[in-house]
Amino acid sequence: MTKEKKKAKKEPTFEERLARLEEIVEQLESGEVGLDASLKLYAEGAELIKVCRKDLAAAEQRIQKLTESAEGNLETEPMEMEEEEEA
Amino acid sequence: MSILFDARDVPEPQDEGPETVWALTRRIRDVVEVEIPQVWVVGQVSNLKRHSSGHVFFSLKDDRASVRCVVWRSDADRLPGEMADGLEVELHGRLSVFPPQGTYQVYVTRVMARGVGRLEVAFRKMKERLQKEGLFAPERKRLLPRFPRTIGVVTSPTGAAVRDIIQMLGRRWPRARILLAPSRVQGEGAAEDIVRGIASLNRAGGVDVMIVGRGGGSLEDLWPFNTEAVARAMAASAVPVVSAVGHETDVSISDFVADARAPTPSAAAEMVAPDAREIAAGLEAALARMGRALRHRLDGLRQRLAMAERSRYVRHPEDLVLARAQTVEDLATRLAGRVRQTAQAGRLRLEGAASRLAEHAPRAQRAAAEGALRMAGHRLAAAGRTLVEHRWRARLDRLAGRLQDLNPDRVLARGYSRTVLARTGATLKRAADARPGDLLHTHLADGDLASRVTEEGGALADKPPVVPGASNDRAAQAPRRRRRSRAKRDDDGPTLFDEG
Repeated sequence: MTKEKKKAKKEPTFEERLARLEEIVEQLESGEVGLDASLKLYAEGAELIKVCRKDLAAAEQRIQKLTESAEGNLETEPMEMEEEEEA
Repeated sequence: MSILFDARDVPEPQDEGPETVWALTRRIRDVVEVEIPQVWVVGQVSNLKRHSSGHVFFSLKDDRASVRCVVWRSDADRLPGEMADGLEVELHGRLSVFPPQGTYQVYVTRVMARGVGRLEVAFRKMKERLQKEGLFAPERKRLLPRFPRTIGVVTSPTGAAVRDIIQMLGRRWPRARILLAPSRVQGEGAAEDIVRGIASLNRAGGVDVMIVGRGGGSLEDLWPFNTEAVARAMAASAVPVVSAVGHETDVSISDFVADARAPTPSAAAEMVAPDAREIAAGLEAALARMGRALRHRLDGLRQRLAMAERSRYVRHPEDLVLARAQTVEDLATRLAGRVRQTAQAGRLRLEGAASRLAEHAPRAQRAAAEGALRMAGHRLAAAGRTLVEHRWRARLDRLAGRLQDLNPDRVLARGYSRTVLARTGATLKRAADARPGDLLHTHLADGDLASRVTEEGGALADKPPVVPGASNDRAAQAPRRRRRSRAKRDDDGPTLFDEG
């Protein structure tokens, strides 16, 4: 898993965002960054946090069943969970 | 009209109609107990359970069939100590039917251990082989991804396992998509289903991790997860596998091969997914930390600014200029003074050097040298003269002295005389030169004497008397001194007296 942000096309993964956030916090806490840079970093960090929060909150569980057709093709279909099935 | 069955198969109807289950069962029992009164069978023990009542239950099996066995409490103590699943045993017993469940079982009277059952042996061999191939090696095990986007599951679509997994994932990490590859998890065909399920999840693509497992059950029930086929399928999977088979204490081969082992399916779900709530809390913490860090920074800067504002020069900037100006003045003065000093010192040194240099000027030096040379010459000459005088004088004195000694007058004064042969006029040196009758003139210190030689006189002619200091004595006396200047004199006599 790469940590660098890819160019515009590819969206960073959740993991990549978290990693970048960790980086930002460390830099700000280190106190070695100039004032202007600090403000920019803070803004970037706040934005990342917003996106990640939304990401976590919006999640809705998707359950799919994977089956193989007679020809050997894979098919997925949504699956409904039955209640209280016999073990 | 369709006929469901052949009329010939229908049993003779009883007078009362169809028999009861109990009646049927009783008939079966009768047949069984009569036809097979004694049982002597060999097989492998499986599913051994000691009931709380004290009775012991197990299955005796081979690769195709199994039969239930019961050991009464009273006989249980006599069971062989090594009695355990996998043990091959020979047993004696009675076959009977257990009506409530419609099953037949062996009421065991005697059990003899035979060693490890063939099936067990085969299993152990297989396990060893897989281990030797390195399938269980810790280095093979991959790390599970931190934030999986798609989680695969190979298990029964019905049953507690899949429900538990879905519930757990729904609580912790609903973000992830769950992709289920449905499979039988016990009995015939289960191993193949599991193998196929693992392969499908690999083919589907995008699956970050998978859980393979089932809920609790007997050893037989769990057996598919002990097969070589399933083990190899897990080993070959490009997607990391978490094995979750049965309960905490159940360990199967899949547990060894998988990248991770979970005691139950729920635990597997926990292992595989992060807790979103924890992450959310982490985000809040990160926000707080960033805020603190920034505030800290700003506070620091504000403080520095305040301090700077308080500083004298900010309030009275002109002071800065004044102070500077003063310093400049001061420095200028010091500089001027220094320059003068330096110049002065320089001039003095220059003059000093010049005069010293003059002393050492070539012309002066040459004159001085010449003077010194002349002086030296004089001194040398003087020294030379002195030396020469000294030496020559000494020599002269010495010679004069010797001369004095050799002064004939002195010699004569001492008693020596010179005799001349009148005939020849030469000084007589040798007695042999004088013949008897010759006239001799003898010069002494105060006068002369004339004399005539009387006779040759043998003794006298041959051996003239040696008078100290006489001519014939000189040979002994003087030769050493003479020898030094051989060029002028000869050894025989003083050249001073030589006339010829």
